[in-house]
Amino acid sequence: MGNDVLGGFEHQVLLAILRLDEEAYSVPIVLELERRTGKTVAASQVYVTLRRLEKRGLVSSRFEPPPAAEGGRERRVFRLEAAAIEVLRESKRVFARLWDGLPVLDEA
Amino acid sequence: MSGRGEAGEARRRRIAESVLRPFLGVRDRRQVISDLEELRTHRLAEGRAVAGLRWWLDLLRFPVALLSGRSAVSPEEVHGSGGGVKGLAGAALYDVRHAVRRLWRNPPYTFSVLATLTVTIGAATAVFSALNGVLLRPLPHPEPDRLVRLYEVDQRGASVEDRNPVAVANYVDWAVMNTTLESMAAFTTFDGTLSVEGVPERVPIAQVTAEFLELIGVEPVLGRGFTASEYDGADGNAVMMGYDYWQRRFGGNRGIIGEVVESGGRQYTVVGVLPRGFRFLERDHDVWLPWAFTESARQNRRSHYLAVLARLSPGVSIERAQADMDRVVDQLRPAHPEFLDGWGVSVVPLMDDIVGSAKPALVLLFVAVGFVVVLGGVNIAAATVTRAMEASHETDVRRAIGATGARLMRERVMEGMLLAVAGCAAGLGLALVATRGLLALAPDSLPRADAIGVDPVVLLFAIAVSVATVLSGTVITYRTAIGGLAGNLRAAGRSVTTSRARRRWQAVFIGSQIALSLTLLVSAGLMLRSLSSLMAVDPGFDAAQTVTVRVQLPASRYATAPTQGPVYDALLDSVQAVPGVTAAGVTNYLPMTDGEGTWSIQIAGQPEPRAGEKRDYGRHLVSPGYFEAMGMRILQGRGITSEDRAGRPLVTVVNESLVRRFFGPGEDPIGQRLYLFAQPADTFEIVGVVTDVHLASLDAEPTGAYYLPYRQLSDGYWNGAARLVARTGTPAAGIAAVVHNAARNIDPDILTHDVRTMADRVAASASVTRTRFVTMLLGTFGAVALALTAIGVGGAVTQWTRQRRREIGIRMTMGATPGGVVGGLLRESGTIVAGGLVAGLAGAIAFARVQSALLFGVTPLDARTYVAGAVLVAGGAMVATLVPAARAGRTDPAAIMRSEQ
Repeated sequence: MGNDVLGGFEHQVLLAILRLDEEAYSVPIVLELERRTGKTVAASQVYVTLRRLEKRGLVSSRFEPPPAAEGGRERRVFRLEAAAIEVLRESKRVFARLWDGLPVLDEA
Repeated sequence: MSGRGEAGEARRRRIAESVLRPFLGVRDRRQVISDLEELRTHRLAEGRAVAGLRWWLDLLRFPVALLSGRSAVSPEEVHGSGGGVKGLAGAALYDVRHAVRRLWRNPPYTFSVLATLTVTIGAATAVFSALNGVLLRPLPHPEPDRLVRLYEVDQRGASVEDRNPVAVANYVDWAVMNTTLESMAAFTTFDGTLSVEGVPERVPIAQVTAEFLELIGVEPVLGRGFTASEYDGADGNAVMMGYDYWQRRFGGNRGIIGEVVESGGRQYTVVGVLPRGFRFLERDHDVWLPWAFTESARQNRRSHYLAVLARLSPGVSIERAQADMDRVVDQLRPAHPEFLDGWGVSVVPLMDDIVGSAKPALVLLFVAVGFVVVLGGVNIAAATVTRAMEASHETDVRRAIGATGARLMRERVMEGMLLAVAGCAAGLGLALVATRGLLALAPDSLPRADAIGVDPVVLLFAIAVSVATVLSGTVITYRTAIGGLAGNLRAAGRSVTTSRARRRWQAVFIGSQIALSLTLLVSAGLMLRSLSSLMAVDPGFDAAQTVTVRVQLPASRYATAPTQGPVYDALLDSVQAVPGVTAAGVTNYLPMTDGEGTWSIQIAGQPEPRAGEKRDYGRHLVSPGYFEAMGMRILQGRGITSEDRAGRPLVTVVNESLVRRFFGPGEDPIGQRLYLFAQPADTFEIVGVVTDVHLASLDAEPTGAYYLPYRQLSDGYWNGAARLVARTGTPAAGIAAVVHNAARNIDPDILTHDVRTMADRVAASASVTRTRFVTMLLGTFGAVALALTAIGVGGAVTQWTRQRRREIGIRMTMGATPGGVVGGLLRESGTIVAGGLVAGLAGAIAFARVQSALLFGVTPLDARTYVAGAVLVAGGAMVATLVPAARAGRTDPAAIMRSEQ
């Protein structure tokens, strides 16, 4: 794969997809990120990040037809590829090793 | 509520659609637009305004994010090809193609806008080139702002502007006593004959004092400058060459240093060559001579002949230098009241000194061309608005299927930019041609003409003009495309009468066009009247059938009248022998050509002049036959005859002005005696009175002059040069050949050149060429303005009739005659035209005030010119109204009613 380095925001997007599971399309991802990080997130940023991740083979997407009821819309739903699971695991291990033995920096 | 919400959503989707279209394919676009809408719904919890704001922010960040290169959109996602950036380029290309197609489909609009742009930019750029070259570009000397000229001014004279050369003694005192000038130098320039290896040539010569070269900031490229002893003349005669002359005459030979040349019978050693491109007073001087003053000259406060140049000390303003020089003259005055009472000093920036006379004409032309630019802008704006309104149906349809105001705006801007680029290019092409034409037409007296050209500043100016012109159109279109005006206009298209707002716009457009054209036409008319007044001035001589030739004897062998006399007598005999020649003579100062040397005079028996009283009048040396050849009338007494020669009683013929100056109404000047202050021993008996002659220009009043028979004087023609004048029925070239051959037979070293008829000289004189130049340009601008106005008025009326077809149809069905319809339209445009005419008359009066310095023989408020201008503009507007109005009158009401259903 070669490009293992994961940007901070890419990392967050991958985790959000993991958390949202079947509901992982753009709008819930934006809202999830905003809720968890407490910061505003631009839809465009999520958009380009998802395309990039897809190009790198970390996520895949499929178009889901609109639900018959309540006049919904077509959605592009994302899910993690095995490579992404591996990258997330690896980064968690690395961070755990880096934190090991350090005093906790939690707010008082 | 829900209806409103749906409308809001539809609007948002349209906006998003047009923002995203250049960047995203259909499916992605749909996704993103839905995303944005969904997000907005979620954010409504935080309040409507916040949700709205976030929607806009999210939307506008898309193009930024996609363009910033982090995008990984697959090529097939955008327009089926290209990534983010490529997509943008593709979209731009699409816009360009679309704009070209739209312009192509509307030839009248495209052509009229392009033609307007070309003409306005061409005219504006050409005139700006002249203005920039003459007035704005700095002089080609180091720190040119510090260079000034110093003049003596006659404080008692009517005009404070009167600038006189400086007396040597005053110059010497000024140089010592001033505290604000770094250095001061004197110079004089004249045409002289230089012989190299025995071959004589007329060359422009500058003679300068020791301080000059350092003051102006120039060093020789070859050899050296003059030494102190060369200035004093103690160490032989030295000469420096101008670069071009060195190249031309000596082929750039570096061995020239030490060579000997001859001028005026004296030998000069070449010591240096001045650098390439060094010019002074806008002229290449081929030969430079050192100048120093003898002890007696340094005491002379009576003769004023020095041109004085100075460099201000660093940081000194013109005002401070002037105050300082005033103080110097005030201190000198008590010691020399007879010379300095009533005389002061004037400090003039060198730049003003050089371009001063051309300034009013150029500024006037620049303002006039500004009018043309505004007119062009108004026309383009009007055409663009008209077009936007005509296309309102298309706009409606496109908006209905989702095009946003921004999208439409982008198209208009793209169209405007295309037109601006094309118009700018065409305009610059026209400007290049026009600038060349301008230079060909420009009077010889136009200073710094060689500095005129299309340079980067001029180019920037052209671009600024085209952008300004197109922008004025686009801004108004913006209001039509985005603002409420579009709705207004669409409503108007369906209503029976046109909307009030649009009518106001049109009234402003047409009214201002009428006003501007009238201003320009009146201004051009006043110049035309000036030109005809000038040409009607009696120059005091009869220019018809008079040929003139300059004759130059080698000064070394023909320094005095006794040596010159036989040569000129022989030449005149040869010319008079030519069949058809009725009279011939020679003179030192030819009207409309040469300047005039003035000497102080006094009438014997009259009281001594008061201090500072003007006594200097033109001293002309003429041969018998001169008055007859020039067609000057003898008013009293006799002219000069062949009997008036050396050894006979000294005589003079004076002109009318001199008689008025020195003699009362009943006094008879004939028999009175006149003498020169410089030679009080010789008195000349006044034997005749001749008509006044306009010497320098037709617009200046003639002043006093006295004519002395040249063969009665010992000094003869200065440098042996004189003008031969012949009255004849034969063409100029024939006379020139006779003079040339006769001169050859007498002495092969005699030069004959500058053959021209007197009529040519009058036509080429400064006041005539300047007036003709300004007249032609203003006339052209006036014609362009009138044409633009006619186009504007015609376009507006066409549009009224088109948009009111229904109204016209109904009225005609109800019994209105075609004549009535046409009359109604004429009344309507007539009201606006009348308003424009009133504004234009006010503008013309204001403009004429600026122009008054250029007018001759016509008052700035010349009623005939104003009436003629108003009639011309009104006539043009009426014709422009009649054509479309007549077409409207011919329409078939039934056809109109059918088409409206």
